[in-house]
Order: sequence, then structure tokens, then C-alpha cells
Amino acid sequence: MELLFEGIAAALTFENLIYAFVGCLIGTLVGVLPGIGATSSVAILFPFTTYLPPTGMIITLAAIYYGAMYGGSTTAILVNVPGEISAVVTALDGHKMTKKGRPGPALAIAAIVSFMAGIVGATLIAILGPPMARLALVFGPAEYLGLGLFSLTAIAALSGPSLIRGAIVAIVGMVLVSVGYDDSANFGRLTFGSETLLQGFSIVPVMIGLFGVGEVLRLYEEHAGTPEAPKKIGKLMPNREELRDGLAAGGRATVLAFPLGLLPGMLPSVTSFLSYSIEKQRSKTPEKFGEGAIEGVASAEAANNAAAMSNLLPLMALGIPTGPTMALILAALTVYGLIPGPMLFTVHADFTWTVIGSFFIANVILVVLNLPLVGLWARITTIPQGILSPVILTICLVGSFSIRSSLFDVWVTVIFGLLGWALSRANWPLAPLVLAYVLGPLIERSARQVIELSPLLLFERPIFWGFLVMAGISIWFTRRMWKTAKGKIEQE
Amino acid sequence: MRTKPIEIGVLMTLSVVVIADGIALASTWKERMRALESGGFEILLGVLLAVFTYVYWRREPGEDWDNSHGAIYVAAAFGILCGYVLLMPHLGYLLSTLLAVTAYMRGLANYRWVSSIAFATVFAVGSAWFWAKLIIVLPQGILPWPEL
Repeated sequence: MELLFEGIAAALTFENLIYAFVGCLIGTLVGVLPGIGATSSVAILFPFTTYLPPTGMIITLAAIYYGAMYGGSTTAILVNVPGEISAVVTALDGHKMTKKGRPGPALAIAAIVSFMAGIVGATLIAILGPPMARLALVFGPAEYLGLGLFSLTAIAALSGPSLIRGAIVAIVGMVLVSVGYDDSANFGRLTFGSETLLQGFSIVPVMIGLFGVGEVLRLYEEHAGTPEAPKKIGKLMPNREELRDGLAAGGRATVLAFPLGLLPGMLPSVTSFLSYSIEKQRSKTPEKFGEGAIEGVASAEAANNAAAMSNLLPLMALGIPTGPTMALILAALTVYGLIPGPMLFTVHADFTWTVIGSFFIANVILVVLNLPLVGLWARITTIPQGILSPVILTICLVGSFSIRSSLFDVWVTVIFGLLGWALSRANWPLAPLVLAYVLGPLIERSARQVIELSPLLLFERPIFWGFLVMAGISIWFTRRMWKTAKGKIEQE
Repeated sequence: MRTKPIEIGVLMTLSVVVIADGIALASTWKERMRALESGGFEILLGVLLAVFTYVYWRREPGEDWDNSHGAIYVAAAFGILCGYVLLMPHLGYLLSTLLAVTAYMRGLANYRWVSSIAFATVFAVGSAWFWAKLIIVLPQGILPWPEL
């Protein structure tokens, strides 16, 4: 606890407050742009944070992430243009409330429960982080191999109704990450004699392409006009009954979503859907859901934020990203040679506790910043796509160029942009590709180490087998989940 | 349009390329340390890709890709983007951005020429100044402004 308070105190220094404030502001600003989700926002803005010191970079990135998530829900509620899947659930009831002339209470409850889930999540990270990181001490190559395989399987299974598609995309991701110079063999792989390809495809231009350029191409395809935002937000605070129902639903969603968010592939979007559907099932008036129920907005938003927080725990403690945004934050850590795991909580304790402290501060800043500025965000949502899209494309190109001052990276962004658009157009999931980018090298390295030591070693490592069993369970569970969801949709 | 045959074709070609590259690397095991492991991993990936692609071909339904009007916009947007990147090292950030933003606004969003050029100029100059303040060195081309 002492370390946490020291972390909060360090996060309250002027410099760190500015990072958190600017991150929240820019994140919300980009997040409210129609069609741009939290992952896209982090991917687009990531390169510009590399100019900051390590603590500042992670504080800013995390603040951009929360800010963009909040911004995404604002767009979903006001103009019914969810930036990503998690905001679709918020839009279901949130936009109905806007149509009924009550956008204020929808926005306010979204902010309040997001804050609540964020604070609970940050507290649990502080409590669970160190013991979880100590767990990593018993991990050798066999355990990391098992963990990598489990994470990749779970993500492939959870990312869409087709496990085969998820698996294929994950393997393609592992193939793409193996392009370039292989240090251990002292040889280029899949370079076909090209010296340029020896540098490989760096994760940042790939992410900017898939989630930034790809998203803009999708917007051009939809040829969306200017969304219509309500002229007046009106009264902001919900009435006593709405506040009570919203807080109760938000609390239940937080309790459900935080542990789920620890599992690989349990992206905030999945937990939002789950919480919403459970809240609807337990409601005495399920017919209100989809027609402007404040519990619908609260459950989706709280689950979204709680899962976003818990996603950070396996990343910081074990170095395992559970989703595309976490893969970027991992890339940010490695920029400064910070290896997630026990070292982060011992050798780099100052850094880690300051970052955890900043999670609390960023959540407070978001509420303080966003509720009074809601009118401004509403106006920003109406910026025409025709102006917005070229601006975003330029930022994407400059961002990918700025990492290594390389035009090759810019071309990687452009090509992956087209790939991202084509994959989502044909209903192929993107998350396994990005996660394979991070987990592929971990799996390969661990597998090689196991082979070098002795493959028989695997039989002596129960944790490895435990992870394989969990991989099997995750496939079985997700197949059932998708089947039930499909049955329900057909029924309805 | 059914996309499945194209998807199968692309994935199978990729798996063949990966396996071939893996075999080429693994076959140098006498000269290179760990070439066998490195190439072997590639072969494993290629084989897994081929197997999963086969399962996908046999068991999964493909998607229908409707040739909507929007595809033309995507092609045009992608074409302008490629032109932008091609021109940037020669013309520099300032001029290539001005041209690209004008093309996007005029060509894809039907803004008037005057509005498109005016916004593109303000954006190109403003952003070039902003990147320079962040010490991001971009291609300078024929109009090196602002100088760092």
C-alpha cells in the first residue's frame, strides 16, 4: 500500500500530471471522431509518445487509451457511430436515450461508471500485480511456451465465430513477424535476397496500417456523411432512480468483467457484450433494453473499462498482451528495455508504481475533463469525414515514418492498411494477427530453448500441461458461447 | 463475388512460399548454426497454414463480397495514398501533403477547388510547422520548410 501511495504521489508531480492530462485530452479528442476507436487512436498516436521519457510515455499511452474509450462512447451515444465493437453495446441504449432527448444522463452515467470501474480496476492491479509477477519467477521456457500457445489459442477462438479463421490469421501473423533477420541463425528469413526486407515489419507501422489506415479506407467505403449530433445536451445528471440503477448495473458489470479481462482474448468488446446480455437476462424489465435503458449503458461502459484495466495486469506481470492495444503498450515498454514481469515490480518499482498511480489520476482527470466539455465533444463528432480522413491518413504516415525515419515503414503502413481493410471486409479477425506478432517470437524462442535443453523436459512441467488444458477449455467454451449467441440471434 | 477461392489461393501460395524458404534455410544446417531450428520453425508454420487452409476450404462457408459503389472510393483513396507516399521523397512533405489533401477533398468528398486548396494549404503548412516543433524530420524535397 505504501508503494501505491508513493506511486500516486509521484504521478501527481506537475510533469506526470501534464502527461496524464494531455493523454486524456488527445485520446478523447481522437476517440470522439466518428469511426475511430480506442485501438485505432492508440495506434495512430503511439509514435508521437516515443519522444517522451519512459514513465511519461506509458502514462500518456494509458491516458490516450482511456480517453479514446470515453470518446468512443460519447460518439456512440450522441451520433450512433461506434468507433469499435465495444461501443456498439453502448450505442444500443445510449443512442436511444439521445433520441428520447436525454443524452445528458446517458453521457453522465457512462462517465460515472467508467470512473468507478477504472478506480476499482486500478486498485485490483495494485493488489494483484506483485503476487502475479512473482508467479513469473517459476516460469521457464516450457511454461512460457505453454502460456504463449494458450494465449494465442484463446485469442484465435474468441476473436470471432470461426476458430479456423482465427487460427489462420494467427499463423499468418507468425509468418509475417518471422520476415527479416534471424539473429540466432545469422540469416534472413522470407527476405528473398532483399536487403530492405532484412529489417522486417516493425509492429508499430503494422498496427497503424491495420487499425489507422484500414479504418479510414473503411470510412471511405461507407462514404459516411456528416453525422448529426443533438443540438442541445440539456440536463446532464441522471435522476436518483437512474443513478441507483446505473450504479448497481455498473457495479455488477465491473465484478464480472475484471476477472474475465485477465484472460487472453477477453477484449473489452467481449466483456461488454457478456455484461450487457447478463444484465438484460436478470432484469425484471428486459423489454426496456435496446429502447434506452440506463442499465444497458452502465453495464456496457463499466465492463469495457474494468476489462481495459485488467488487461493491463497480465501484460505488466507476465508480459502477455491480451489484445491489440496491449501489444502496443508492450512495444512501448520494450522501446526502453523494460521487460514486464517480476523485474518491473522490483528493479523498476518506481516506474511501475508511478504508472499504476497515474491510472487513478487519469480516471479522475477524465471525469473532471469530460463532463464539462461534453458540448465541445458533441461538436467535434460532426466534423465531416471528407476533411477528417485525409488528416488522419497524414498523421498515420508521419507517425510510421517518425519511428525509424524510414520510407519502408511508411509503405508497410500503406500495405497493411489495405490488408486490414480487406480482412475486416471479408470478416476475418484482426486481433489474432497482432497478438501473433508479439507472441510468435515468444513461442519460437521458448520452443527452441525447450528443444535445446531436452524435449522430455515438457513432461516434468505441470504448468505447461495446465496451459494446454486451459487452451482446450477456452476452445470448448468459446465454441459453446458462439453457438448459443448464434442460436439466440436466429431465434430473435 | 465469392472471396473464398481467392482466399484459398493466397493462403496456399503463402504456405508454399514459407515451406520453400524454410527448406532452403534448413538445408544450410552444415554451414549455419541453428539453421535447422530456424528453417524447421518456418516449415512448421507453412505446414500448419496449409492444413488449416485445407480445413477452411472443406468446412467453412465463404463470404459474399458485394461489389458496392464504396469499393471505387476505397480504390481511389488507396491510389491517392500510394501517390502521396511515392511523391513525398521527391516533392517533400509540404507539397506532397498539399496535393494529397486537395485530391482527397476535391476528388472524394466533392469540396470546391478553392475550399480544398485553402484547407490543404493551411493543414500542410500548419502540420509541417508542428512536426518540426516536435523535431520529427520529414522528407524536405524541393521546398525545404521549415528548416530544422
